[in-house]
Amino acid sequence: MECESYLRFLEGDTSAMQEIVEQFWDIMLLYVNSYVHSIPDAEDIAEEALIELAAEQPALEEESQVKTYLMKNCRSLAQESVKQKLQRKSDAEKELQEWENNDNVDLLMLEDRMQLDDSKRLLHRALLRLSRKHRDILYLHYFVGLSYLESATVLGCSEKHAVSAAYQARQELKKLMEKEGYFGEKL
Amino acid sequence: MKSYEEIASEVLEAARERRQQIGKRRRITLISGIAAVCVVGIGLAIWVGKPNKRVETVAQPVASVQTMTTTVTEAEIVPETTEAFTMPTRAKETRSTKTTTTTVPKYTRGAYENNDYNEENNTPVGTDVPEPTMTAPPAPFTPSTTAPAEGSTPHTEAHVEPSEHGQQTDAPAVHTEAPKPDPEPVVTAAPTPPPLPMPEDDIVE
Repeated sequence: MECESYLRFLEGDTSAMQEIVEQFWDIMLLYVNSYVHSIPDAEDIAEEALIELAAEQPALEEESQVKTYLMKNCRSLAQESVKQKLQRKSDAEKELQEWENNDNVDLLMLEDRMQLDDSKRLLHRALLRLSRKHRDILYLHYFVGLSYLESATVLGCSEKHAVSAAYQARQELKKLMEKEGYFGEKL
Repeated sequence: MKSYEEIASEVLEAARERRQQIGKRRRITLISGIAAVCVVGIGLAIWVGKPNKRVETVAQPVASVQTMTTTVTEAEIVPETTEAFTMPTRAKETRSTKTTTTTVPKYTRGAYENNDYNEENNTPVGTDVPEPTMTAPPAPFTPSTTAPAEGSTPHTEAHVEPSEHGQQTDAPAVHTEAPKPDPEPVVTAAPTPPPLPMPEDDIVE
């Protein structure tokens, strides 16, 4: 499936950028937020990833290619941000505590805007408790909508490794959700 | 949270600035690369096109070094070092005086003991009686030695001089010895006087 908005942007149509933002912004924000645990920081990182796309203008045609490119940039930028935050350890701990209390208003607004139903919201909150390796593959595969191959490209691993990581992540997530009393059928 | 329009406008503006920066970087790298290639090309053209120049460039420093050495030796160093070189010449003069004094000390020593030493000419003023008598005996022996051996003239001169100096008290070292036997200096002075009396004795006998 071709990404028409990006192709129009490459041809010089600047108004196509708004369509690109509408198409990918929320997914990027959700994914980056799983790293930095802060919606404003996630916005900055997602914006930076879009700026790189608009400035470098790589030759991409498919929508999945554009999505993969954006997620890859988002991941690398988010990892740098996390490293900087770990140097300020006290601030990072405070943000994690706030995140665990689930009082993040911006996150609720984002979930509303993405029109996530209750099961997906519960799944999203459960994903945040997984290890980073398992969380990444489930986010990219189930929320962003990338294939295992594309997820492996973003994560910098093989497709086989991504598939096995997704299986282990699902097992871990199932245990977590069963502990909380949720017995979903589609897990 | 920002709206999509705000995000899109910010992204476009930032992307435009970044593209300008990227263009500047590319231009700078392109210009510097072209300049580097030009410099290398010109250097290669000079190096390949004029091989003889390299020989000249090698030969020139040598010539310049030679001129440097000539100018230094002839013009600069010699005038400065003439004073330094005069010192060895003075030392040579003292050596020559020493060689003369090797024959003189017998006079100077005796004159010094008699307090008759002339400071201006470095020669004894008064005559010493015992020293000529001490130096006199070698004089008769010299004719017998000088008759067969012609190459021993310097020894005969050295032995004869004291006897003559013992007789000539006013003579300065070597040059004053010569006038008495012959007008010419040292060489003819010493050998000629002794042999003359001895053959006469042999003939008489």
